[in-house]
Amino acid sequence: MSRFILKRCWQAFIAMFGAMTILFFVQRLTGDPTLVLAADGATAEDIALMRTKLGFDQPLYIQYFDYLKQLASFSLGMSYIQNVPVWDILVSRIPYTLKLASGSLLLSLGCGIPIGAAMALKRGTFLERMFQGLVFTGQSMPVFFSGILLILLFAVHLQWLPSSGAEDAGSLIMPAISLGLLTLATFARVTRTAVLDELGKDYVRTARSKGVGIRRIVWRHLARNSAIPVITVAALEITQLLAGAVVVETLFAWPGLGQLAMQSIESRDFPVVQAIVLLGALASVACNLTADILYGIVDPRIRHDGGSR
Amino acid sequence: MSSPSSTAAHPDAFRRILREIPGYLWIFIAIFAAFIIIAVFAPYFAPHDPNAQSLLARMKAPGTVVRGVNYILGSDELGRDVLSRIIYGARASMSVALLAVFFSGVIGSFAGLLAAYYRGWVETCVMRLVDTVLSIPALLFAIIIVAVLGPGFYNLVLVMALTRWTRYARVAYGQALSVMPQSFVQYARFVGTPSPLIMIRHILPNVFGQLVVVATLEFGGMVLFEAGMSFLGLGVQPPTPSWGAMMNIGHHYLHNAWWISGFPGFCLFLLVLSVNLIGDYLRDRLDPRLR
Repeated sequence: MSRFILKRCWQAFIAMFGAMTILFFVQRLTGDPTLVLAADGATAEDIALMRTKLGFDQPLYIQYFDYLKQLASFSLGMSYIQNVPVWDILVSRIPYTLKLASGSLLLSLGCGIPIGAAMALKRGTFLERMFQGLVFTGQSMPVFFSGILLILLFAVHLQWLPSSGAEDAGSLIMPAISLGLLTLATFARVTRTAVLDELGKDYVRTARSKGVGIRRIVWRHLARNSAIPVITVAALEITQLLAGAVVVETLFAWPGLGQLAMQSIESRDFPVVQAIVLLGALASVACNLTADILYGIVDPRIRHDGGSR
Repeated sequence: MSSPSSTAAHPDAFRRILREIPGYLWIFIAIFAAFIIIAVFAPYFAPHDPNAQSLLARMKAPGTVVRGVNYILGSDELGRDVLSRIIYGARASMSVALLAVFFSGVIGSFAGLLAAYYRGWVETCVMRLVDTVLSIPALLFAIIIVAVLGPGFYNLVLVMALTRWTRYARVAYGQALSVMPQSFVQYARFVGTPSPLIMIRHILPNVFGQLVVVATLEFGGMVLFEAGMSFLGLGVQPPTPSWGAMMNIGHHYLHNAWWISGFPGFCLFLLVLSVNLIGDYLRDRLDPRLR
């Protein structure tokens, strides 16, 4: 088991290292990053000064080395605009994004899995068709359209909830729903497929023929065996939630990392944007790693064959 | 019924396939076709110039007539006709999504084929790169690239292709691996056929069907991606009409002019819904394993 975890950790490290490298080169895609950063009215002297100050006049490999050295000491650098460490800017925003993402995740897990299980267990009924419609709607609904519909209904017409900001608990409801809808649909679909797969297996038939009640089969046998695909998807979906948060936070003026990213792009505060993307990659790598380790716990077969995918 | 036997075999099979398509799907095929036709022939469908502004006709409700001009779906904050902008916006959405699907498909399939054909360090590099790109949330990755390159039509296509090629690479890689050991590939290698020729003539045709299914499924995602980027102001730039950008502007006026963002949002939803349903059907028919 520990070898399996070590191997996975090494792979996660490589992915993270790759992400850092890609981000380094992305910033230098145009050849001279100073020109991207410089304000519109900057003179040639200003630009030259800025280039030396930020170290962009150094050879590429030295820049890359410095960049890695800086990240290795857990420093995200200084903001170009506010002249404070990037980390200080991020810290105030992280709780908001976490609140939003966990709200959406709770909603989508709490509703998506029961809906998916119900779709599989009540095949061919009106209930299944109704949920199917819901799943397809959720899958095709852009987060900003569901958000706009929610604002129209609950903020403009009924005036129950605020349309933007993050003052009280009520203002979390709409962003969380619009962000969670797609994830909910995905969870429902995956759970349905997983449960259907398991329902067709011999052990379920044996259990039924022994006279075990369907309720007991679902809770005792199906739940654990259908968990693996759901865990995989959960890890991927958390990443999706973080990306979707950019749009939702812009729509609802929610002061999280996504909104910060958009504001920093406008003010060309590159280190902040880069730090947010790195944080997103880190979260996604960490989620996938956790999912891999969880598989090993849920299904002992996986850890024994060395975890080859 | 009375058609001659041998020559009619193909049309009959084709008709049978058509007959097996469930009734509800025809509605969505029709919707999808309608969007394509509208996008291609936008100038013929749009009642007005999508960029013509009018101070007198700002934020008029759907159906309002101002100076003899009927704003069927209302007008936006600059007095532009929402219907015409939606029709031209379909163009932006579809062309960006199509090009992005094409380029990401070509890049991904090529990478996947190379990895499966050469194995060794090529395989390690390509598949590690796939893992790395997948680990960066796509929208965040796209945002940072656009922040460097600047927004615009071609940059948007480039960014979308660079972030979404991984799925094709995985499918092409997996399929090609299973084709490689088969005798016709081994024989081609044995007689000295050049590697690029083997990949294109012998392996690609056996992988192509699945790649097409992936492309269909990706198209809906690309349309959403484009709308999302335009919504954030990083996609197709104004004044070119785009659904995402219209919704971004419209959401500031939700309290008094819901139609500015409501109608483009609904069109986006309809288009993506029909593409997703068609893609799901194709996948179930052609390759249930991709599920």
